[in-house]
Amino acid sequence: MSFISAGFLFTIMITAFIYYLMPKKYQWVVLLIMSFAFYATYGIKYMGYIIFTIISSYIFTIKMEACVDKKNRRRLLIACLLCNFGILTGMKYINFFISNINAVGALFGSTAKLPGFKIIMPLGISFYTFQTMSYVIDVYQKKYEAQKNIFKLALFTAFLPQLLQGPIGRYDRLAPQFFEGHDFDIKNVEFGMQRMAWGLAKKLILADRAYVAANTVFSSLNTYSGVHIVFALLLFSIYVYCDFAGGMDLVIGASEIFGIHLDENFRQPYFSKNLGEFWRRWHISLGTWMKDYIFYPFSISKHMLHFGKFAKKRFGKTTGRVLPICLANILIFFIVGVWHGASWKYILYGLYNGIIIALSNLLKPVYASMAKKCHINTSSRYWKVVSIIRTFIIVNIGWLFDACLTAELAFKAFTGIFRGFTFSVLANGSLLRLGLNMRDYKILIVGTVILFITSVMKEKGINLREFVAQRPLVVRWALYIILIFATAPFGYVGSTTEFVYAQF
Amino acid sequence: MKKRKGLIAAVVFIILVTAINQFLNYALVQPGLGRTMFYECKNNDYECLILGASHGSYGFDSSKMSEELGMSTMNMCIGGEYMYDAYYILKYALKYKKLKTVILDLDYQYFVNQHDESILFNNVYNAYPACNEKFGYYMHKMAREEYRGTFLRWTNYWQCYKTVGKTIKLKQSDAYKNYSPEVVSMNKYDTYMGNGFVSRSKDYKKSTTSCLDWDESKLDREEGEYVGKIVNLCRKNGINIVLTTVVQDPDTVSEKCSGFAQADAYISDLAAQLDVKYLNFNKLKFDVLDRTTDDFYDKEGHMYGDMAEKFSAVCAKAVKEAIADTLNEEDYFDKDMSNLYKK
Repeated sequence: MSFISAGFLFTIMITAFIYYLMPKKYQWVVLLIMSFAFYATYGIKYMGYIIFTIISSYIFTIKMEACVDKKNRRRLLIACLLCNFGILTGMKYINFFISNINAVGALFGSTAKLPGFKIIMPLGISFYTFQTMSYVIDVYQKKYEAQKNIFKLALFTAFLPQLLQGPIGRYDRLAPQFFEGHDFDIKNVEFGMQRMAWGLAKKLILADRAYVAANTVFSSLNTYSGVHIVFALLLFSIYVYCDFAGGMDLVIGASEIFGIHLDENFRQPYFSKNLGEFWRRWHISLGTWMKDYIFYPFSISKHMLHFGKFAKKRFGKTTGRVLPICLANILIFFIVGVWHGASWKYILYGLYNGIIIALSNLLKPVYASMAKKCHINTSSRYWKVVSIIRTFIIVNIGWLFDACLTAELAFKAFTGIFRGFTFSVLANGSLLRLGLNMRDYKILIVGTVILFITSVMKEKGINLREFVAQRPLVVRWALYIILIFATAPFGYVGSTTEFVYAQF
Repeated sequence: MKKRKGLIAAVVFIILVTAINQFLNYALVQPGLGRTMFYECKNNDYECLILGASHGSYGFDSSKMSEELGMSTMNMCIGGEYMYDAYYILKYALKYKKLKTVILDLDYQYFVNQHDESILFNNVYNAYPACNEKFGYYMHKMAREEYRGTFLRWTNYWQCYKTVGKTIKLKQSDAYKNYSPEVVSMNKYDTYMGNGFVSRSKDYKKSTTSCLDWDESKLDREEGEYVGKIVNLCRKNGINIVLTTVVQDPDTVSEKCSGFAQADAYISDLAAQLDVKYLNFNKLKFDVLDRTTDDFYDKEGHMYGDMAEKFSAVCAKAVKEAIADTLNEEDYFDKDMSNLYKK
């Protein structure tokens, strides 16, 4: 059942109705039952994996808590992580490993091939595994006590709205909200529905429409010129943002109806002034997960401290301090790439980001002296705009890995940008042969401008939702009704795509 | 007090949105032929029901089929009818009729064109009358289909805002209330002949729309599952069922012969598993039914009316013999499609 299906919206409505009828003490039970019922619609057979994650996390954390010996606690943690990340790796990457072994074998002239496995991934496995493992690590680190009620832990793992595409939540922030119960508050319902309608508009009006033209170009690169590829890339950047952020609006809005406030996953990422900042504004929950559970432990590990000392001696104080951070960044983004999918294109995508961030950290002093020599005021508004555009271009080049089917095609697309780059093709009607008509382009332009304006307002700290909520009832309701119905005349009608992050 | 006020506001808002939405559905959604067909499905007398998609709609001449089969026939083939749509149509028909025979026409394109969550194919659902059976149908649709298809049915008709007055007037007319096909705006080359059959005139200039290629990797298992459900439902009710595929443009079959042959093998296998007869009329010998590309109004293989009449006579005869278990397949069919369509 997709998030844009009537079934999902109906499930949320019904669940909310029952939820608020229940005594506060039992509200979490309603969420638990509905979450599992929803997950079961994808196939009962896939439920084994999520149930395993819940049971193993429960047993290991309880045992960990009871264990006094530090070494044993550590063993339990490693065992739990191995079990769960083992399943994730097995399900997601086994065929990738096999195909690479076969490819290496073929290089050495071997004709023997290892057979692949027919695996259908349980939905949301990347999200719920990361979320539950954060809980396990936190219990190990004694940040909070282990949950003694397995069903409560099950709700934390499988909470309906966030189950499929995050945000990757933290137990200490979610658990109190799940279990304390909530009184019916019209503001929560209003804000939740408002946010869901906004997400649906992003997905159906902008994302699905932009995807059509972008996909037409990227699936037939030879046919199109450099200008077309750049145009398609811009549309892809609209698509990927509106699809993921729209999905998040739906998830966060749906949770808000129950009085549960999930962490934000986006903060106007395209306004970032460098790639590092972009990753602090894009898929924030994954970024913070990586930072807390990989970056910091890795950076302060014994080996890295030794390496830091060595680097300081060898390369001087500044470089020596930055070098371990650079290495940690490359590792993090390698993992981010792998997390996105079992394909070289994602690994290269991760490395592309990691290396650029590492280099920009290393070369910071060089940039600063160059800016000084060129009399550039780096805190001026003009320079900020230049930095935003520069970062947007870098991000978009990275999107090529996502937009194309393989890494090879992504490189081909990149070189294709410089082939036949003449703006005259924009006027020869070829853009109208990318699956979109003039009306579609007009809607895309107007929609993107509206999105841009709202993003600028948010960036300036204007709380649009509060602003709307303070309008008179008639104005508010009129606005909501327009928003709810807008997807009918302005939404893209055709083969709609599934949310891209729901496939991870 | 605040809580109660909030609850009332929420309920009022939902009622308001529902009311506006219902009004928009009424004022914008244009009456389709499906509505008339469902009316006839409930009220006409028939013993044989034909289910399938657009090929069947233009291919099965109900009166000719009735004549040859010796039993009155209702053609409930509707463009965009997937097997689960057909399943719910059968349930609807069974609610009112005692059927003897069901002909289930299979277009392989529906097996490889996985029904996505878009709202392009909603003809059957939109026309399906409100009844207990619709609840199951609704739940099925709702679970998988994009919300606009079931909540905002007017999505595909929003451009009709200019004719809202006309649509409302039309929906209040006696012709609409009496389910007359007159109120349906059909292609000017089409004539509704009653009992579900649409006849297209040869004045219509042939279009180039062609068939999707058969691609087993895109196979939608659900289509096969619902064929099984339909077969079981028929068996449960003591109804004879025959699977068919109507004849298509011979040029297209010739061009995509290996795909057609693979589709035939897949569906034949499915039929064998279900222990039902499958008559693929694309394998029909040319001396049994002579046909050329000019008998079809598009490359996909939809028939003109006069071809439909000829085809229905042959089809009904073969189906009748299949039911009586007297069919000698060699009299009608060539097993080797590539040989049949060799140029």
